[in-house]
Amino acid sequence: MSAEEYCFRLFIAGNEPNSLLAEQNLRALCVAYLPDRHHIEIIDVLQDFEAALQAMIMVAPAVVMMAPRPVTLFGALTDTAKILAALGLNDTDHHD
Amino acid sequence: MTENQLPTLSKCPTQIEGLDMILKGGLPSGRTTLIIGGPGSGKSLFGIEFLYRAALDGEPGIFISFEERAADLRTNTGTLGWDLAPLEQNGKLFLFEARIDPKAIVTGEFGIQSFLAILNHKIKGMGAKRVAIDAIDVLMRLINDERREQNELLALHQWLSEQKVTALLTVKAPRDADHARHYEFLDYMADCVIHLDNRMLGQLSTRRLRVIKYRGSGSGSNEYPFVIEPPGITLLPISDIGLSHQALGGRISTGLTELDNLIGGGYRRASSVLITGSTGTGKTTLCSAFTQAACASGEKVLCLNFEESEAALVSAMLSSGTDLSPAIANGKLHLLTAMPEAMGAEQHLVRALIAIKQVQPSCVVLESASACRRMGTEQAAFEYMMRMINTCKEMGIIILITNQTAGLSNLDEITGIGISSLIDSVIQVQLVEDAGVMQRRLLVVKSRGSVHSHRHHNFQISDRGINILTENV
Repeated sequence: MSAEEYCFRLFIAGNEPNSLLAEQNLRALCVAYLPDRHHIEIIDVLQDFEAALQAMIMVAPAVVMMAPRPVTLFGALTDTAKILAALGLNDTDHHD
Repeated sequence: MTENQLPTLSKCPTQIEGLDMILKGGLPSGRTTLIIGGPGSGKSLFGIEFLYRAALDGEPGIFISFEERAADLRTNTGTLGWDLAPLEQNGKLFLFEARIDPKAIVTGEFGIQSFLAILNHKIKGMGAKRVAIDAIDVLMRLINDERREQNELLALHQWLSEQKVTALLTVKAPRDADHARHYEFLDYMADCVIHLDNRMLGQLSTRRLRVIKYRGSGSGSNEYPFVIEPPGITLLPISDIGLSHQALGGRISTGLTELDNLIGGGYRRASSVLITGSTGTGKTTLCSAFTQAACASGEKVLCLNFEESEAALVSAMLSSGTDLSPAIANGKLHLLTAMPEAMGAEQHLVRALIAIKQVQPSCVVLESASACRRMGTEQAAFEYMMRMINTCKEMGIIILITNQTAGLSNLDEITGIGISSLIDSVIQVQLVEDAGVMQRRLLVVKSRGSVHSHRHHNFQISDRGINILTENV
């Protein structure tokens, strides 16, 4: 169970500040809580609007966790505790 | 373009029945219009019809739905007889389903760039000139910060005007003062603001539209009733009543030679005739005699009946020797029956107006003014009658109206519900006691533009029809 792969799609809008911040925060969180078992795909909605349309993502930044279960997050990912709870990760370590 | 106040402001016709007249040509072209209304007020349909009518003419448009599924929109509009699918297939209409995952978690700031990026590509790709954004409040609620919401809305507004699209934004009416603040801001921002509501009048719901503001243009300032029925939204702007009535025209036989003689040859075209009397006096029989004769001489007749079903009416008339079924079969007679309580007066009116448009009758028979009172309020019934009479007079149609009065002697009640000034002829039928026998009696009370009898005439109804005795009573 602990080897579950976490797959994220991060939708950003070019290099606007909130998008840059979201990418930074997501990478930091993955390194801290999901080392070696995460995958991040970055989609720039300004370039690939079809992907945004398909995923029905209207705001950026936004994160869609594809696996192990679907979770959608909007915003610059500033509240780590809230994100961990949403992703079902324990705050103290990566036991689950 | 039809505007005459400001030649610089161009208008984008909505082709929604009656709306362009109220907006003096249409929505402000290349600008943003806001529609505010409660749940079920018809906001989304205004947005779709605005695009649908243009798409039928080959002008592409995009509908963005933040709430409803595209599939539901297709189904709902299907009930109005609209087929969106072919328009979607040939690139004239794009239903952009932008529903926001209700389970999504918000953490930190975000913007609507993704939405704009998608919209931008679609506008460019389709060459769209019209955009309807339905329930923009759903997107704004996600932001949940008044100042940021305003910034995003301003940015959206500016962006839309840069795209030179005519945009229609719909927003749910605020439920509390807190929400109202945001919409106040929207009111300032938009170039045209329209309010919709759906309220109860009597026991029937009635839809109304009001144009709150229209920057740089005049617009009708009243509340306009509207209905949503196939073939679409219909507004009923009050036109210049009475100014475009046609002059009374040639005569059509009443179906009874004796009655023709009493009123100078028959009912005149473009005239309104009220047949009044208490129950069982023969009002419907008089109407049916006329209907049968008119149809037989090639006239088209539309009967609006609020008292009986089609089958009941036809069979009741058989007893007085009038068989309406051949006229129905050969398409000369069209019957439209409904319970007055079944819908609001506006809806009744729209149904009747649509039927007049389709059937193109030269005669309309309306039974009865008294039943119209049950459409809701006295005022609603009055408006219904007034609009019906006006429409007929404008189109040169004879309209026969029956009115059931309460008493046996009823000269005071012949005015129906305050429509007497619009009535050209009044025929009163009575049952009076004469030497212990109930006797039917007919009086031509008034007949504009005709020399007519001023006497009471006895008449009989048998299985061979009506027999009017022309000698003096």
